[in-house]
Amino acid sequence: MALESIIRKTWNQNILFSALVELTYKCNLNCFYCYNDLALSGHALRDEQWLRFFDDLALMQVMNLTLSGGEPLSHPSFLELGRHARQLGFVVRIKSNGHALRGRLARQVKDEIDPFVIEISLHGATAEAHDRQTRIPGSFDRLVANLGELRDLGLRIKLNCTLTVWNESEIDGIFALTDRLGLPMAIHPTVTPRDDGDTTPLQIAPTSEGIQRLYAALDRRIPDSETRADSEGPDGCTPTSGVETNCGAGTAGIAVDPYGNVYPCVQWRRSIGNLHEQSIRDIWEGGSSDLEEVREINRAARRMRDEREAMGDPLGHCMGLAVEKTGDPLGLDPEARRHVDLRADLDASKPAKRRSLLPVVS
Amino acid sequence: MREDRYRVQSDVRFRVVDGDAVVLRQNSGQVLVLNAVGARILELLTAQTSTDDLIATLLDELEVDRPQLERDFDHFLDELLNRDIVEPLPIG
Repeated sequence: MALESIIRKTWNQNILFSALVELTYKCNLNCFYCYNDLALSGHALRDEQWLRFFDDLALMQVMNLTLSGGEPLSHPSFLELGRHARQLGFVVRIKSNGHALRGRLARQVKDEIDPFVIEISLHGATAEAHDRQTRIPGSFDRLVANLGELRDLGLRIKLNCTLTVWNESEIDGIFALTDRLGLPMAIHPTVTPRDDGDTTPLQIAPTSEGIQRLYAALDRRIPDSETRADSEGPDGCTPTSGVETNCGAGTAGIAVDPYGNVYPCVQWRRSIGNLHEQSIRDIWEGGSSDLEEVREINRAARRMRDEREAMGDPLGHCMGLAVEKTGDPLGLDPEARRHVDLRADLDASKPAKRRSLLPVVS
Repeated sequence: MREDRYRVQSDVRFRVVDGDAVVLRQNSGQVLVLNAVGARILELLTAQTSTDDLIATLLDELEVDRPQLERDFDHFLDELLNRDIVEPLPIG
């Protein structure tokens, strides 16, 4: 049985398989486009609540656990929580800015947590672009030094970059740098609003030329293929058929913020419960109207997408982005449409491939 | 030659989803999916159950005769060893 059939089952049968936890919104950088809602308040989950939550997830056979933030290493009990996650047998991912990952701490992360991968943000090929984003002078040089150290330690690193007007002229340089470091890089063309709806980050969204430059660069690196080439383990598989929902949001995955609010995914910030009030098992299996509504919207999004695909329209759909851009999880994000059109324009501008002439029998 | 006990390699992570096991080897990124019997064997190996006890347990749980079970088990164990999913438990 292939992994895809398992993932299909988790989506269709509401089997929780992946969880992302934002341990803290504290961070040692100050990124211009940070999406966290830093004004959000509440009682932060205590260590014992996180540990109990992890225990519940393991009992539910959740496989993927992503430790995120903010900067997750800024949480005072990060190592303890990570160790517990490892002991419970999760496939642990860490999303970090990499600034503090060096020396003894890096060694402890490897030895004590043994994450499947650490995803680290790189914002450009130069200090000028990277430090402009992080607003911390020297952060680029420090990160590049740390990346070499982490690689030499044997930690599995994946780099992420969001394309912006500040770095879109550095695409080739970014790939040259990461190739030199021997680390995989994924550049994402979408800048998102903050979780509180603030659209300030969109001021640095990439230009159409920048997005096409990215697609062209990816085509040169991965000819005739989709734009993603990295292997992401059991969290990176997306079923292409036989699914009843648009994605795993609220059907196979959740995200949790530092105050215990549970969401269908990291992008769709619609609360479906709070861990101060209920266990994750009660939230997931309790039949709350909020969660049921999320699942119904997810099914409706799938039907909408299938109808478009039947008409030859490849536009995907993200309910979270749709809410942020249109106020409606089923609304059409004009930015997504623009990206599809830019891709199509680029493909149309390519010279046609030579075709072998078939013999004609008359 | 079957060893007395095995253990799951330290880079292996697995979960049982609706009876089937999803197995990840972190070092290679390789993902395997095992059926319900394979999942059960992996659970028993994780508990470092001796192979004799493991076979006795499976004989209790499955409708199969011992020779057939032992053949299938040895074949499956070879697969797990070849793919670096498990290793013999060091003595002592």
